Amino acid sequence: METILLETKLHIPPVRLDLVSRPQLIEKLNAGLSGRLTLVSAPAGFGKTTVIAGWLGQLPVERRVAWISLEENDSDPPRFLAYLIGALQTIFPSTGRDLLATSPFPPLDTAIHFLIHEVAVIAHPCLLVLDDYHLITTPTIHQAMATFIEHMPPGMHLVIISRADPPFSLSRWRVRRQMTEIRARDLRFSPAEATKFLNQTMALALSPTEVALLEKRTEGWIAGLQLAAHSLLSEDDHTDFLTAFAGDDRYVADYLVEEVLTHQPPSIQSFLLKTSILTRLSGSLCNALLDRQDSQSILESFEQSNLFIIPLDNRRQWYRYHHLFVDLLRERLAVTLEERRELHRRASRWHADHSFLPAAVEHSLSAADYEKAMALILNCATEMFMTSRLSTLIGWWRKIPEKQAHQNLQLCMMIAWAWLALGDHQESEHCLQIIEESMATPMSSLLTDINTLPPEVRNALIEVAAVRMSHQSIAVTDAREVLELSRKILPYLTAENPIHLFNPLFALRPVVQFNIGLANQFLGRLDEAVVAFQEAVTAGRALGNVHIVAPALGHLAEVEILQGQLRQALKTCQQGIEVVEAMARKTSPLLGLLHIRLGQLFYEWNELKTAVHHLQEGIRVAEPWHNRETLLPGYLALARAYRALNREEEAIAAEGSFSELLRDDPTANDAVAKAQHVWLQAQHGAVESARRWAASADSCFYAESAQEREVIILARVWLVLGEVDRARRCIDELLNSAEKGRRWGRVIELLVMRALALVEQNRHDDAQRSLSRALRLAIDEGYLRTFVDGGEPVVQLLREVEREERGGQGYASRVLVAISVDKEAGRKTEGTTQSVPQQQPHPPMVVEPLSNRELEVLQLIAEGLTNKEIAARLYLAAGTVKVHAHNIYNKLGVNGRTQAVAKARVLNILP
Amino acid sequence: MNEIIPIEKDLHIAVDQSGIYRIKIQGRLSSGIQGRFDEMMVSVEQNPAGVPITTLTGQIADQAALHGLVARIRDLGLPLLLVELVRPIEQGG
Repeated sequence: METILLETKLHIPPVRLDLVSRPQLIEKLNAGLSGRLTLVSAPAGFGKTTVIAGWLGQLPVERRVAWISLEENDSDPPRFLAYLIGALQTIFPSTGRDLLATSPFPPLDTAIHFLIHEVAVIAHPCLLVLDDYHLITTPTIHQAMATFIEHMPPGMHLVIISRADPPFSLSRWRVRRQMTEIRARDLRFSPAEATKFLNQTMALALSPTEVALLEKRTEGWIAGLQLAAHSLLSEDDHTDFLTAFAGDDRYVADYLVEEVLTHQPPSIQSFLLKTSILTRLSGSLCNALLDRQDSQSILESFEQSNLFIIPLDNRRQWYRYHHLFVDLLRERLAVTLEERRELHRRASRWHADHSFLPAAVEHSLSAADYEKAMALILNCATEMFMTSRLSTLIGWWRKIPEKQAHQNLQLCMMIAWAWLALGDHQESEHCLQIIEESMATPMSSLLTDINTLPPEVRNALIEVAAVRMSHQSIAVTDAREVLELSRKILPYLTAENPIHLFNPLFALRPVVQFNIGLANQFLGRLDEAVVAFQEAVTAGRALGNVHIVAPALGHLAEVEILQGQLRQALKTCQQGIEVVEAMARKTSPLLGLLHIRLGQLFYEWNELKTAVHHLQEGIRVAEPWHNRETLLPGYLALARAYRALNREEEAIAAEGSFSELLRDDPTANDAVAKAQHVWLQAQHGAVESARRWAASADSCFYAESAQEREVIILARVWLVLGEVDRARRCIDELLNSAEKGRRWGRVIELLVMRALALVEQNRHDDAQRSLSRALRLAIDEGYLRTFVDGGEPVVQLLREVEREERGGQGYASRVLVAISVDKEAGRKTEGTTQSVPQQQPHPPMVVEPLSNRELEVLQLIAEGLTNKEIAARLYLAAGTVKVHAHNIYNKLGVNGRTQAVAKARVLNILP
Repeated sequence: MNEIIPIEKDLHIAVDQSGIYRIKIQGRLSSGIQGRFDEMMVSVEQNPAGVPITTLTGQIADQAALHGLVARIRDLGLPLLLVELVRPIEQGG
C-alpha cells in the first residue's frame, strides 16, 4: 500500500497544454541549470508548480528528472529520507537501497552523508524537484538539505518550490552564482499575459479596460485571475461582476471562492465542501463519503475545467485540491460537528477497507472515534515500527484523550516500546507505570507471588519487566534484582504461553537472557555471564533478532578478553561477524562492536595494521548510528594503534573524534569514557583538571568489579600525576578482586601497572617479581602491547628477567624481540630502546591559554574558513591572521589546521 | 475585525514587492549565528530589565523571503518580538 502512495508523491504533475507560454521564465530556468539550485519561492497561487512542471516537459530528454510532492507528515526525518531516496531511485534505481533496508534508521545528518557518497558517482545530468518544501518544519531536515546541496555531484540540479524561503542560509550559493531565484515578481502575470490567459485560454473576450481592472485588483496573482475567470464564465454580465469585485476590499481569494462556489449547482457545492476534508481524493473514496456513484466523472470534469484540482498519477485515480482552495473550502464547510465527524468516520472506513491504515487512523482521530483509532493503530503497529515512523505513532497516541488511551494497555505497551526505540527511557517508563497502575499490581509482585497472579496480569508484568530491563541495560543499576527477576520470569517465556500485550512472550527470551548476561558481567561473575550471552545468541538467532544477537556476541567477546582468553575471543568475533552478516547486511552498524573487539585483540598481539583495519571498519559501520558504546572505545583504540605506528597526526585526529562524540551528549551514561577522557587530557598536559577529577573520584569509587574499569583509569591518572602511593592502593585492591574473580586478562594488566608503580617506589625486586608473574600468565595467549605500552621502565625490567631466563628462551625475550622488531612496519632498529614508545606518548605539555582573538581565529578555522575568509570576517589583514594561526599552532604544539582543531577539541577549548 | 480602524502611517506593500523591514528578537546572537543573517544589519540593545534585544534591519526581497527569515528565527528558538515594515521599496527602483 505504501508503494501506491509513494507513486503519487513522486509523480510529476501533468501540464495542461493550453497554458499561457512564458518564454522569459523558461529562459531564466534554463540558464539556471549551470548552477546547483533553483529556488521558486512565492505565496500560494502563483503557479509555481505549473511553471516548473511545464518547464520540465521542455528539457532535453537526456536529463533525468525526479519529483517529490511533500506533505505535512513528511517532517518525520526517516520518512523524508525515504522519499528522497525513493525519488532518486526513479532515475537511478540502485540509489540508497542499503540505507532503506536499514533498521533502525540512522540519524538524518549522517544518513545524508551516506546518500551524498552514493550519488557522488552519478555523472549523468539529472534534476530533482522538492515541491511544497515549506511544509517541512524539522530543523535537522533543513540542515541535511543544506549539506546535500553543498555536496551534490556536478551533473545534479535541485529545484526547491516553497511558499517561503527555506530556513537555511542561501547567501553562499547566491554569492557564488550557484542559485537562480524565481520569485513572485517573476511569476505574476504581466498585463499581456493576463490578457492572453483571460481571452485565449478562458475565451472570455474582455475589453482591455476590464483586463486592466482584474489585473489591478488581483495584482497579477494567478490564482485570483483563475478564480475570477471561473466566475465570469457563468456570468452573463461581466460589468456587474467586475464592478462588485473592484468595489470589495475583502481578501481576493476569499471573495472569489465564494463567487465560484455560488455559481456551482448545489450538488457540486456539497461535493466540493464535503470532500475538502480529504488530503487525497479518488472516485471510489468520494463515492463512499457522499453516497453517490458518479464521483469519478465529477473529479474528471473538475480537472477539465481546471477547477483547482491536481491529478496525482497518470491513471486518473488520485487527485488533490489546490492547497489554497482546500483551506477556503474547509472554512466554508458549514456542517455540525457530528456531521463533520460522520464524514471522517466514512473516510476512515474506506481507507481501512482499502488497507491504507495510517490514513484510516488519521480520519478516525478526526472523527473523535478513539476506540476505532486505537484498534487501527495496533493493526498497523508492526508496519510503523518497521518503517521507523515512531514519531508519527506517538503523535497519534497524544491525540487520544488520556483517560481512554490509558485504558488500552496493549497500546500503552506499544508506546513504551516505541519510546524505548527512540531512546527516551523516561517516557517509556511513564507508560509502564500506567500499565502497573491500571492492573493495581506492581512489577515487584512477580518476585513475591508470580505463581498466584492471574495469567493476563502476570504476562503483562513480565513484558513490563522486559522493557524495564532494557532501559537499564546501559547501566544495570541493580544487577541482583535483575537476576532475581529474570530467574522468576524465564520459565514463562515460551511459545506455549500465548497471552500477551504487545510482543509475544517467547520473543522476550533473548532480551532477558542478554540482561542476565549484563548483570552477571557487572557483578564480575564471568562464567555465568558467558552462559547467558551464549543463550541470548542462540535464542536471538532462532527468532532472527539481530539486535540482541550482535550486542550479545560483542559482550561475550569482551568477557572472554577479561578472562584472558584472547584466542577464544578471536573465535567469537570472527564467527560472530559471519552470523551477523548473514542475519543483517555487510555494512550493518551492529557489526561495529565485533570489529572493535577484533581491533583490540590484534592490537594486543602487536599486529597493528590489522588492528587499524578492523578499528576503522568498526567505526565506519557504527558512525551513521552515533553508537556511543561502539564508537567511544573504537576511537580510543584507534588512537592508540596509530600512536604505536608513529602516525601521530592520525592519533590526535582519532582522539579529537572521541572528545567530540563524548561532548555531543553530556547526559549520556558513559562514566568509563568520561574517565578515559580525563586520562587523555592528563597525558596532553591538562594536569590540574585531572587532579581535581581524581581527587573526587577517589572517594566515591569502589574496587568491586562493577567499577573496575573506572578505577583502573583512576590508577593510571594517579600514575601520570606522579601520585604513586594512591595509584598503588587502587591497583592492589583491584588485583585482589580480579584474582578472586579469575579475570586473568585484568590481572595481567594490573601486574604490569603494579610493576611500574613499584619501580617509582624504588622497590626494584618487587617490581621484577610482579612483572615475572604477569609474563607467566601472558605466555599462552600471546600478550604483547600490555607490556610494550609500559615503556622504558618495563623494558629495563624485561631485560633483567631475560637475563635470569637463561639464554633468552623465555617469554621476556619474545616480548623484547617484538619490541625491537616492528614486524609489520618491517623496519629494524639497532638498539631496542629507540623503537620503544615512551611511557607517555608525548611529554606532558602545559597549554598556554589562547588569547580571545586567537580563540576567535581558531573557531573560524574549525568552521573550515580559509585565512583570507577569516581576515574578511574579523576585519584583519591576511598576514595578521597568519600570525595568529602560527601562535595557535605553537601554543597547542601542533603543525597544522586539522591537528589544531582536533587537539583543541581534546582539550575542551573548542566546543 | 469588522470595524476598520485608521492608522497614522501609510503602509502598503504588494506580495512581490521588496521592503525594508525591522525585526526584533529577544536575546543576543553569537557571531556564528549572526552569520546566518548576513543580509541584515544587526544591532543589540538592552531593555530596562537588562535583557538583550537584537534588531535585524535590512531589505527583504518579498513576502516569501520574509517568511523564510521568520522561519530561520523560529528554528533558533528565540522569542520573536516584532516584525515591522519600515518602508516599501518602489518597484523597479
